[in-house]
Amino acid sequence: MRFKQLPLIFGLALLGWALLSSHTLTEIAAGIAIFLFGMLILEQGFRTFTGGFLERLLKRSTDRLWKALAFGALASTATQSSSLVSVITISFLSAGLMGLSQGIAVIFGANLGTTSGAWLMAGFGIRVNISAYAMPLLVFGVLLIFNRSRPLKGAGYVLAGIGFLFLGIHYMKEGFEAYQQGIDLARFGVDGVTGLLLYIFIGMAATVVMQSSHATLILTITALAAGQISYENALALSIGANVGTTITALIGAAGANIAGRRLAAAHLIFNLATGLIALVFIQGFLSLVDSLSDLLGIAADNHTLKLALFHSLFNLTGIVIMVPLIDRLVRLLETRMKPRRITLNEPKFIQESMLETPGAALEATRRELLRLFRRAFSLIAKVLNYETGQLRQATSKTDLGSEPERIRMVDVDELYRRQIKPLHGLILDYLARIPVRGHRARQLVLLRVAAQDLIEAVKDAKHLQKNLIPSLSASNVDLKTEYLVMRQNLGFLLHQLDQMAGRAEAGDEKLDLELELAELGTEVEAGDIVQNGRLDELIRQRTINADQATSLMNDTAYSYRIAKNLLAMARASFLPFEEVDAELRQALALGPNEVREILNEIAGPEVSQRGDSE
Amino acid sequence: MSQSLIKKLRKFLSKKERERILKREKLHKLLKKMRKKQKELEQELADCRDEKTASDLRKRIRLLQEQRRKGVEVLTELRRLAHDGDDDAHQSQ
Repeated sequence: MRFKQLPLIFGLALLGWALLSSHTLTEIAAGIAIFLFGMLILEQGFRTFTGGFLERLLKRSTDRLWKALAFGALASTATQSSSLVSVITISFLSAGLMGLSQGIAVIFGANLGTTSGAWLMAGFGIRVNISAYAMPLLVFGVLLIFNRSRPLKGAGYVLAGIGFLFLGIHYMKEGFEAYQQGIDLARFGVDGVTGLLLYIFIGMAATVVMQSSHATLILTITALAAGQISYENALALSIGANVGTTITALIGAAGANIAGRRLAAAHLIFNLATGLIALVFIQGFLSLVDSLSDLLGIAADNHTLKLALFHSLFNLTGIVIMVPLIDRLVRLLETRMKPRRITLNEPKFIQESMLETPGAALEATRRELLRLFRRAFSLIAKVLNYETGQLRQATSKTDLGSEPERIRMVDVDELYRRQIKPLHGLILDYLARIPVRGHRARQLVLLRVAAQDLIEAVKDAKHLQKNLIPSLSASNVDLKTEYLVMRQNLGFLLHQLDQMAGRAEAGDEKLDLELELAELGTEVEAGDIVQNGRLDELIRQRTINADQATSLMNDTAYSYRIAKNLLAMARASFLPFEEVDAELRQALALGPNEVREILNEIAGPEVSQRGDSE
Repeated sequence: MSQSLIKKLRKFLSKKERERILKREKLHKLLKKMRKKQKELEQELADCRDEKTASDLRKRIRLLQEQRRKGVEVLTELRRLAHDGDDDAHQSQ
């Protein structure tokens, strides 16, 4: 254990010695450190707005490929952080809010967007005394950070982040300018293919160490502006930074789920391909940069702007080449990278990393809840003595009316402990940790209540089983028939809910959730033998005794509650949450009394119609 | 003219108003969809010869009617709120 830390200790000691021996190096290193700190703060600031604006924008911008590309490019330009865009994209992908091809397009776009940093630096940062802007930005930023309002606090972090970025750039510039007066690093430049490969490697290494291609590029531009590295070597460094940034993504994806890993692999393939293209066709790119520079009015000796142009150009070329191949890339990734088997007690959709994007975290929880529903479905099916397949494949209610071939008691407690409770616990724990406010808080409460509804349904199934099993083989035919009908009704409800969940997951546009749930609710009300007078009839006709009547009444109540809880759970979790839709669904939902009134109203004319015909 | 523009701008900038408009638009579309579905069911009922299916269809139509009735109530309330909002704006001028 102690030996493992030796390289780190050695590295830190070496850095300490280097910093002590050179004031200029200290200045450059401090510049890099402040710049990276600024990036962290800036990211923190933009994270304040995730869960709102950025997520909404991402949701709306990924239905078309070009929109996803544009979103990636614009978002990383605005936030100057492709890693923030990647994190949100991975969250959305893992939560199933977007497909892999859209995710890949966002990442491709982000690669182009991240080149804007080089343009800003080359066009503005080098010429202007950037520290003059840094100071007021820091002052206003810190003042706003102390504010209680979340958006203002976020804006404060963004301002302070930009302030630190500027300050970092200032120190880097100062450091390289000091070098300029002392030693000339450009003397160590290497020409030819060796130099190209060497500087690509240096660019990669610097990006891996700093965990930011942005920082490598800014460092390169400052060094280039101070004449400390040659233009050719700077180009190689920018290619290296592009390749190196994928290592950061790969490290990040190591802990992610399959969606995150596939996206990281796509990122790697894209950057390696663009890096290779840039390397092989570097002469062609240089000629193109020169021609375009003439067109754009960039001076022939303005190497910093030409570097920015080169950086954008080879990323754009990568996009042009790779975009038509996205579908093939998706197929390749999906066939080569299979998800590992998930154990019973492991979550499939929810992930720690998603907690930073509440919208995606809530959607993932909803999907996890659907997984819990499938388990509750199997458990209740077993209690009712149906095979899960039989219940899933039933085509009509009559299919479920026959007596079970073999009647058996299920250990509900054991199944609950093994299959339901651990996943339910994970969901509750996760929900408690999602930072939400506003309408998302409402969504969270709905999901928590839905999880509870599901548990109540399972618990009631356990109570129902106590009398159901003996009654299914009872000698009293009337009693047995009542329990068989109760079993059939619940079984058919489970079947229909399962079908509905499947349709919702498949995005069936014809699914009219509220109407279909209302129809199921009507069935539940109509099947309530306490309300419809059937129980009284059985007692009056003395076909069941008082004890049996009490049990039947209790079990009807259990069955009614199971159905109601399952319906409530379905209403809250079968479809992705849209605040307005949820409100409208609630407004249009019919209460038990309203349904009963309709049933009575329909029963009236039907009875009279039957009477007339008799 | 400019007053009306200011009013429109104020409405556009008000989050509550934007949500209300969105709700109204969505509800309007939903009610239209429900009406279409009701007509389809009514047609199905007219062609139906089986008593049990007919009873089922009658029930579904009645449920739809009830849901639509509730929806229309909500829509009327939303429209009233939008109208009252305008009135409030006039009074405060």
